[in-house]
Amino acid sequence: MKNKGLVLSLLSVLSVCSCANAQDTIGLFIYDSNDTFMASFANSVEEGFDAMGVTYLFQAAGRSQDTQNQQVISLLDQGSSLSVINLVDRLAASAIIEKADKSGTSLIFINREPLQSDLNGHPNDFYVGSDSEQAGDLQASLAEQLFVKGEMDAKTCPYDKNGDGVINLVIIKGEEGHQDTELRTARCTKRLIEDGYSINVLTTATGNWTTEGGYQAMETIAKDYYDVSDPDKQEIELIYCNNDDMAAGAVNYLKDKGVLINAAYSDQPIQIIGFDGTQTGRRLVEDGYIYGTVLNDAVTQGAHVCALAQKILAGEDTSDVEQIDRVSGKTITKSTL
Amino acid sequence: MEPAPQTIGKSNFFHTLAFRMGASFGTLILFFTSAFATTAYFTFNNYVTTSAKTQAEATSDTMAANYDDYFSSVISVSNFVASEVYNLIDPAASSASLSSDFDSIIAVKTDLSSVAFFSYSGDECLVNDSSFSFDGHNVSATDWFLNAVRNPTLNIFTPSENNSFKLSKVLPYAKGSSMGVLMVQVSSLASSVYKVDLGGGGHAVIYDKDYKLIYDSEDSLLAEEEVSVLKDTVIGYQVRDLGDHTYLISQYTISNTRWRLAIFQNFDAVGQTLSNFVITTVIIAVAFFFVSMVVLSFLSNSVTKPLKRLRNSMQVVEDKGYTSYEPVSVSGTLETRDLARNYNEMMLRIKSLTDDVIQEQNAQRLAELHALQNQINPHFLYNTLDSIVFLIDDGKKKEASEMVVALSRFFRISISKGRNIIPLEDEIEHVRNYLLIQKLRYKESFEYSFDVDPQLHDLRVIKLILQPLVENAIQHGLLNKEGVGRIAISGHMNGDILVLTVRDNGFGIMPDKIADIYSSFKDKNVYNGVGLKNVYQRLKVYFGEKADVKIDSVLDEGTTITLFIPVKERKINEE
Repeated sequence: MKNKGLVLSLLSVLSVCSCANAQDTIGLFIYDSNDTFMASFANSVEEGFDAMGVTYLFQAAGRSQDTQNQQVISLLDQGSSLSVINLVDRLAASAIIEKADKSGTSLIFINREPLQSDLNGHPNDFYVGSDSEQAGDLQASLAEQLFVKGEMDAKTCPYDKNGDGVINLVIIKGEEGHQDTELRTARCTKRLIEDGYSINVLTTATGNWTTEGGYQAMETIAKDYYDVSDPDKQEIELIYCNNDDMAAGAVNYLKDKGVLINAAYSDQPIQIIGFDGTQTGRRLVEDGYIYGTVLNDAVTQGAHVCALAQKILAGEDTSDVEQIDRVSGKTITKSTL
Repeated sequence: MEPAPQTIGKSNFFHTLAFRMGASFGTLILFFTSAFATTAYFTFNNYVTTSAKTQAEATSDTMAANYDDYFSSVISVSNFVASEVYNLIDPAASSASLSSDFDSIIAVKTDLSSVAFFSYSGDECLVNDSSFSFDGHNVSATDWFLNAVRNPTLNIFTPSENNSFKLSKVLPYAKGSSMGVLMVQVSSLASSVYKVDLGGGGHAVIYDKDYKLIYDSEDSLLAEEEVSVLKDTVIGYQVRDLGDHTYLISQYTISNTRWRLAIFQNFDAVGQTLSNFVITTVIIAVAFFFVSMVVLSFLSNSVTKPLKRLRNSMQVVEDKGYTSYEPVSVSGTLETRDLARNYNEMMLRIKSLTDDVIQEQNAQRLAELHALQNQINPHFLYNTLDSIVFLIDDGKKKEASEMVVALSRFFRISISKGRNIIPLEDEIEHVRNYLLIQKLRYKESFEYSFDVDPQLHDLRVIKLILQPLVENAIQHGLLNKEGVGRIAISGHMNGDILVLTVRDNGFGIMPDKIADIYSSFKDKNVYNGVGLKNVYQRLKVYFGEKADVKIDSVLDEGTTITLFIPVKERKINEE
């Protein structure tokens, strides 16, 4: 029995070894397959992996951190030298890092940023994602292209519908409490204030990152602040959306109510600024329903992930690589499409 | 080296049938029972462990989901307040309505004891529920406040005494133009979360990333041993022995908190079931083995016991000879019974044959001795030789020559090159020569005749069976008789039996004497008796029960001796 056990364990060790050498499976875990942006991000990483000729396992967690934990553990148990993880809950990072350290597996977190304190002291773990603060700034800069400072001061800006020199805006947020929601929301208003604008945030509503959520959020907001048939109740001049899917929902609602028309952005009574620069967002810009969106650059981020992955898999020294890699976004308007 | 002498004895136990049967069947049974028991154990073990583990894991998962939901529900309070205060322009003006909103929250979520919203500097409480009283002390130095300010996008959970904890978060208000800090005091986890039976010693533990205990459903402390076990797995499942119990330990992260959850579920039942199974299996296997061995030994005994008895009997016979043979008891299987029965029959047969042969040999030796004594009886020889001399003196050369020839033939047939079985023709010739010699000696005092069918001449008989009868007839019947004595010798077949008769017309034998002769036939002592008894016993030895000798005599008229010889049943072939 003892010998048998030894042989079995040797066999399993051998199989793990051969697996790690010949067929190292890399994990690619995203929080939800229904998220348009994450789907395109994952797609970009997959293309990179295919080009590198590595074997990978792609799994989505359906917005459950427990599910994701199981998926990650199961791959770690098989022995994997690298996993790319889009966390459901970014606070779960410390446990996953601790677990991965036991098997010497490197981790690249994407899109949802672990706390700096969780990454500290774990040089094999990295983050690649967007720069949320910069993204907020870019959203603000899009607003500033519409609401030109001089015109606002002179109260002659065509988008300042009531001509009071104050931007009346509403914000459709992602999940309440979500890091990106908070940072983007806080930054896009703060920046305007810093740049000397007078703004009035009429209200905020959450749309849970989805098109339907955006539609419902817009409906809630419009109830108090916009009525196409009541000129006294047409306060909204600008809508910030935390992502393009929700912007699409808001556009759908406003089209249904006849607020938005099939025309150039400059002819619309309300200006909308989205985020992510997904296919959906680009079409809205193209069609003139929204003024612009901020590109959360999935392709560039995907390329960064793959470059880092290649380094890790080749066993190169990664000590000089910055643990946190925030990729800058870009503004997209009709003129830059 | 000389080969060791072969013995039937007990010297090599390992070569016995009992040992070989026991060893081979025992090994076979042992192998199959242990193979069966092992297979059964592993199958059962795998099945029980897997299914019990799956079930227990599902229970833990559900419980973990409850904890997740619970913390989400606390966070949803924070989110709700966040949306409430965002549009709050003047806290002082709206304080009353917000405060009543906070009261409603506490009324609905009974596990919360207070909700308060502080200024970013921490020196002012902007809004609070009606039960909360701000004592004016600056809260900005407390952990929960500092951590919230340090991580403005996070809901911070901070443990406080008695399993209670605080949620704190930085919230923008006045349309994002100002910041404040929310504090939600959770007095205890809602009972619904942990009311799951985890078995003896089972409990749920919440701890932080440094494995510092935050909450324990059983109010126990996180033992050092438990901590190291938790550190082994981090997240996932494991089965471990801790203290007196076996646990399935499931570890999770709690969503939107930096805390982790470990659920210790009592897993003793599985070990208990398995050890019960092992005990039962071992008992059955051992019992089966022993019953098999008992049956086997019974079986092997039924074969080897009778064989051993046979062997012992053979050993005795070998050591001490056939005379010491005692019948072996018949027992065991059909085969061994047959064997014992046949052995007994064989031994009895051998014994009787041996006895017969010994007896016959003795009888013959004596007969030969007697015959030789008679034949080379000095008187017989002297008288014969004297007779020959007289004949020559008288000038009876022809008679002298006949007598010499008869004497020579007489002795040749007597000796017959040592053979006992001779053709009937030779036996008759022998008697004829004898009679010729006697007749010449006694000068025509008797006559004799032969009446034997020449077809019978080739039949095989034992030698020296007629001469003693003829000698008796001359000696006791005819000598000194007045008138002419007659001796008639005849032979014919009566069925399968050769009947030889010697008849004389002498004095006859007294009936008492005949009875004595008959009874002397049964006397085994061969040295005791007369020629007739010797003939009788030799016939019995050679031709069996059907052989017989009959004496008929009438006083003063004569005697007839009849020999009955079943020639086809001759048992001893020694031609």
